[in-house]
Amino acid sequence: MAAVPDGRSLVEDYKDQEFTMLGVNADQARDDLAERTHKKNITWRSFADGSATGPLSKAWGVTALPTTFLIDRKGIVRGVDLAGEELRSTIDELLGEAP
Amino acid sequence: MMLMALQILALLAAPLTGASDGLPVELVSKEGTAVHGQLVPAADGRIGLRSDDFVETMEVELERVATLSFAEAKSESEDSKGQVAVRLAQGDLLRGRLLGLVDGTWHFAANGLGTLELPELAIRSIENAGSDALLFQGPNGLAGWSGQLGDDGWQAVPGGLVSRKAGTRIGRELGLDEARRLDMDLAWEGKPRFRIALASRSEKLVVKHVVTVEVWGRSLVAWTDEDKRIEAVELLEPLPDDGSLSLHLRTMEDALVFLGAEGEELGRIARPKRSGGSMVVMNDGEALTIASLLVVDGGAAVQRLDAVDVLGFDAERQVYSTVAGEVAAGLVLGVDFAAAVSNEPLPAGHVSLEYLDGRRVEGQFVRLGEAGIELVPGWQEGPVVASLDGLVRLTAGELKAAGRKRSDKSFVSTANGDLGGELDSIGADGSIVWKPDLAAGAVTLDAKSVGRIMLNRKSTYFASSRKWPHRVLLASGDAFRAKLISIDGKAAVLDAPFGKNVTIASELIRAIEFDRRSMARFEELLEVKSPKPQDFNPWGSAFKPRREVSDGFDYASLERALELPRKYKSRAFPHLVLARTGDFLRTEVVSWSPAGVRYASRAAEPRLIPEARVAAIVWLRSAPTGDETEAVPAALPGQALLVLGGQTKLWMDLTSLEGDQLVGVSPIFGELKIALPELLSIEMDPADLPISTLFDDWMLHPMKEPFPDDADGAEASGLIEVGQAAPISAGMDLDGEPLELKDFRGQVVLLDFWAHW
Repeated sequence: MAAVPDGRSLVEDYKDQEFTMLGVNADQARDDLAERTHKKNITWRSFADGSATGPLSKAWGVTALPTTFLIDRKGIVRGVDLAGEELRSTIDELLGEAP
Repeated sequence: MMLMALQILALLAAPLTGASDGLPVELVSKEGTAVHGQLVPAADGRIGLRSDDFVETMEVELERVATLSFAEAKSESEDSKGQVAVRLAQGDLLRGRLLGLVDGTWHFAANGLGTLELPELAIRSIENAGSDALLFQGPNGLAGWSGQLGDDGWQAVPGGLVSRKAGTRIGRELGLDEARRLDMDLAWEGKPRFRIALASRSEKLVVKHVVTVEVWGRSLVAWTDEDKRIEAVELLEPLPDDGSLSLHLRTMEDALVFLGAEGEELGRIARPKRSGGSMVVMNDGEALTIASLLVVDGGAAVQRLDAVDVLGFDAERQVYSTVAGEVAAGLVLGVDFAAAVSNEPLPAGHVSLEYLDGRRVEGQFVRLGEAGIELVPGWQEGPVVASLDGLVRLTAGELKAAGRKRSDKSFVSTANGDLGGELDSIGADGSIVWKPDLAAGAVTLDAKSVGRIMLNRKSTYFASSRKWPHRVLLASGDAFRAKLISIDGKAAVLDAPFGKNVTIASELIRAIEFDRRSMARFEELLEVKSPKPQDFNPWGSAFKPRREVSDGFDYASLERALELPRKYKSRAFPHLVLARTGDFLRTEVVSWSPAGVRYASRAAEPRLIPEARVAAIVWLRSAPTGDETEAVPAALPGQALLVLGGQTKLWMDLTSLEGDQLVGVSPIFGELKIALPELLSIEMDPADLPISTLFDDWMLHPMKEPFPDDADGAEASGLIEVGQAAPISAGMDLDGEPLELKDFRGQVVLLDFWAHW
């Protein structure tokens, strides 16, 4: 289950802008079915973190899934677990900032 | 202690003189009852038993008895010099003194049996027990004996030989395919030195080998001393230094082979050619019995007198007379008659008596009296009285209609054994009234002395997963199937077979299981030490992943999830949601509905996991805060744990038995009535019986430092907050390609931590 149910449309909507969606997948082992599901619905790249407490989860302090971070052009976290309109408006806002 | 006696003692012919008179025994019935007690006289064909625990006395028909074990068998101190062991064709092994051979009948003063007249045909062998040479029968007709070895001498015991030297033992492996092969397990501690003689008895007893074995340094060295010639053989492999070794000794056609524990050959001695020395005495053609006389010469060489007709035995001079002349008994290892050992199973009504010194007496049981056990043996017309001195075990013969299997029966268990029968009633003081099936009447048991009542029924209670789709495990150890109505932060509301709309406070719940099969798999992965109630500590943990199970399960992450570092505000994550795939999520469950489990997230709305994906929700305990532990009603001494089908466990104080309804008071649910036929067992002694729910152990490890207050906030290494720099994030993507966050510098990135469930 991705944190962003509308991830595909998000990626689609921002495909011509400087926006990238990246996943951090916490599944331990992916069977073929899960793989196919993932490829169907999740078109963006994901880190394979190996578990819910993998290196990235630890680095980011993530203990509950799903969790999202919005990172600006300078690498600063600007939003955590944003969703819906708030997410889109914040992305728009960050895209407007100077690189 | 017991209120009811099954038998009135005054009716018995031999009144008891005191409470401590009887021999302490353990009686095991064919149906599985096992009771400790003391022997008391009983009517013919019965065993009288007085148990401090169950009944004052009860008489058990021999047919119901499987074994009677004598706890304090004492070895007879009688001087063994001049004694012989007489092996009878029926399988009996007697010890005593030969008094003489008259008209084909051996007169024999048997230890514990008195003077017997044994027909020659009933005797298989006479072994000279007075010397240190003990003959024993091996498999496939092989036989061996130890020589005169002083401190290293062997004693025959059922199943093998035992050295008098501490720490040395020898056993035998039976069931060999190859003929003329004898496997012996040799193991010792310290420095062994022993001698073994091996002989084949395929037709006649033939000495094959006498060997002396010693450990020298790191080698096992063996000598033969046939023809006074000593042959030393070093083993192919060095021996371990610790002085303990398990060896097999195998006689092959052409060699004596030493084998290690894995069957590898350690060394061998080529079988020396015999250089004569055996004396063959032909009988006169009219011998009644063909026997071999084994004569030991000076404790070393063994001579065989084949086909000897033993004509007599002079007890005063201790000599055997044969057609070839006289042989001093002191030189005789044994007399081997051709009679075969009967392999017939013990018939019903017969008993087999085993004594500490290896004696074995079989016969039709008559009675157990004060003088001993009266029985009619197979080798004479009338009865004998077998002494109780040195008696280790009485085994009764097969009885085809031995009743139900143990698994179909109910038992009450105390420290003194298991008594088959039926639960009759429950006294006002919680005492148990039990109707034993071995004897008439009923017996009242103090609840404190009862450990468990095994009812062994086929319980369907709670078992219907359709009607009761969930299983609830409580901190108190209770567990039962139920149907959830709702869960919120404070309580769970559910229907259970014993009540509708039962509300259970959240802090009482240990887990709610949605899917037994995947949970069972999950439990299998975990090695859990269940604490006993007296150790009940909601904050302690004995959780330990069983690492040898290799199934891709991430134990380390589970451990970390259970042992959240203090920088995490653990109270925000009081639950572990286990998925049927084996994945898990540490989170806070907000609610449950038939749609699934909702858990808190940083998003505005709680997230949903469909119920079909959930194996269980586990309530983790957070930090200890003062008297919080007291809020969890742990099992109290005196409470009984009722075990029913569907892995149901309910703690309660038993109140009464109304018909087949067991009435009790649960500290959580109040008065409950459980149908007796649904019960699998009642555990009466919580102090000794573990309450085993997996999640007793699914606690956070106690922290060395207290959890920080919420005011401390998240530390720098906690969840990355708005305004912080993104941590270095590099790794592989799902296709195995390198992926680094810094490559996307200059872009707006939405980093989504996700999993498939």
